[in-house]
Amino acid sequence: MYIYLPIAEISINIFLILGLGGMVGLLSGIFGVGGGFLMTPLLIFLGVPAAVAVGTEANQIVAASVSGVLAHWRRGNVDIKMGSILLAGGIVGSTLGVSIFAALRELGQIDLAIKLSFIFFLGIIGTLMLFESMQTILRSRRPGAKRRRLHQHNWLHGLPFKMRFRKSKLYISALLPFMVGAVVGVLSAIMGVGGGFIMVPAMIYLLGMPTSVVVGTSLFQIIFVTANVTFLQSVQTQTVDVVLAGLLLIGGVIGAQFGTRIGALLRGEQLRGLLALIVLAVCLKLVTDVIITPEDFFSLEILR
Amino acid sequence: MRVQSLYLASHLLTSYIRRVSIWLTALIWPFILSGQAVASSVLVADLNEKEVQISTDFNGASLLLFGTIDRDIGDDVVIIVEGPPKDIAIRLKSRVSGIWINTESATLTNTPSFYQISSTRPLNVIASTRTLENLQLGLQHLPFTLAEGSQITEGELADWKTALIRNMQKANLWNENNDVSVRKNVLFRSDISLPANVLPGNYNVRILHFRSGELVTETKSVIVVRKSGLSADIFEFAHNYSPAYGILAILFAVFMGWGAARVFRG
Repeated sequence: MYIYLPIAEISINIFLILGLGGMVGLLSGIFGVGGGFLMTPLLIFLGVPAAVAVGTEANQIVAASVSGVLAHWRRGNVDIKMGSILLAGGIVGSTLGVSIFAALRELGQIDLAIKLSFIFFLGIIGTLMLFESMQTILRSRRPGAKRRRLHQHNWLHGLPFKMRFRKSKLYISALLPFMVGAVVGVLSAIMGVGGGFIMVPAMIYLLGMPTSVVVGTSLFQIIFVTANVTFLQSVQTQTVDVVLAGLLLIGGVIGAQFGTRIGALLRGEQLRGLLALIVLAVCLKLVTDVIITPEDFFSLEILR
Repeated sequence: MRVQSLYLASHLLTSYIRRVSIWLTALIWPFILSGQAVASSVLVADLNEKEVQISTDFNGASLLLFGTIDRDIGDDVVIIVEGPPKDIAIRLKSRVSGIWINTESATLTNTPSFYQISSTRPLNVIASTRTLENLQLGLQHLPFTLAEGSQITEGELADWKTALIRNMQKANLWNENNDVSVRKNVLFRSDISLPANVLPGNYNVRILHFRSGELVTETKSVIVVRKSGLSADIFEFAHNYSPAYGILAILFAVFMGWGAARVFRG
């Protein structure tokens, strides 16, 4: 059964979209990431224009994150104070990102920019996470192993505007989460992702937050950052397709509910190790896309 | 399932009846015409549908063009369907330190976003290259106008032109065929297939009658492709009231996410 998407202006199989939403939603529920890092490339691969894929994904992630955050909220796993500082940075970053996106689109380089950004971030983060989780798993198996310190202290902890975050058991500079939020915000707008796959490791390794509050807090701020991207893309580029988003999130929210339950059964390091493998697989696929000789050296775009 | 197959059956039946009636009408035509004072060449054509609606379940459309012609043996019919002209960007990839990057690009102005040319025989058999060029008939002879400031040299031009034709054909937007069939030397028909990715606008249809390599008569028609129903409303709203659209999109997402969480909790 085919459906005509009003903004993407293409006709697509409705079950393909529902299935895609469900699969990505499951992963997003398990790992507490928006799932955009998978969804955006897959949508582009299905023939949805890159700009529409990015704009629509932002809208879909709003719903997936609202659905996901409620479960964490009930368990008290959301650090609102930390989330708000991250969010302030996120709003600044995503607003800047939408403008960069529009400029790259004008230059005809947006597809490549999207792919290279994915390769860069997925590659680094996937590798780091894989090593870290393997170490933790190996250490925990050794009897009488020493418990790791809560977090390491380095120069980042010497920055001004220190603030106490009770839920995260941290006393750090507010500049730190603000910067993390801003960087992720830019990427969120350009890559059509919630940014969870960058935010979660940054919160664990850079800010030193306890794993228990990381997922809920990242989902909390992703809601508002992606809402900002949805609004700005709607106004500036008219690339938000509500019909596509609606179908993706019907599949997505159902998948996310199951995912959250599965996620609660797994241990932190197992969760991170598994996510690392998925991240690396997507990265590898994109690398081959960019280096394999294309079938046709020429490509067309009908300008509207 | 049963309702669906019933629906399908009735749909097939109506489309069959429609096709048969078109054939009948077309068959009767020459007899009506023969009663009148016939000019040196008479060309009458019609379409089974003149308007295509891009609604929510749109997945391309197939139209039937049919008509009668005062035809001598060896005469030809050429049917051209041309979609709204657009600017088209062509980009060339090359390898830069291991990665394939768009390194060159050119923009073509006023290029048909859809072009189907069907004829009774291959175009180069019907008329001379010069005639085809003058009348701009065939994919090879379509205007190829580069936008100002283009950096493509004369030597490269041919490659870019073939790339355009190849890619438009791959997208099912351009097509050259000789599928026009003629019956009893008077009745001709041709299928026009608009793929799912056609743009809304006016599609000009021209029917040309060739005799010994020369154009004898020409008649015209128009197919209007427009968005309709919910998908048209959404498109209009997104473009005319974009801030409101953005806010509604967010509220919709929040509501859906919250609703799903509630449903699953209970």
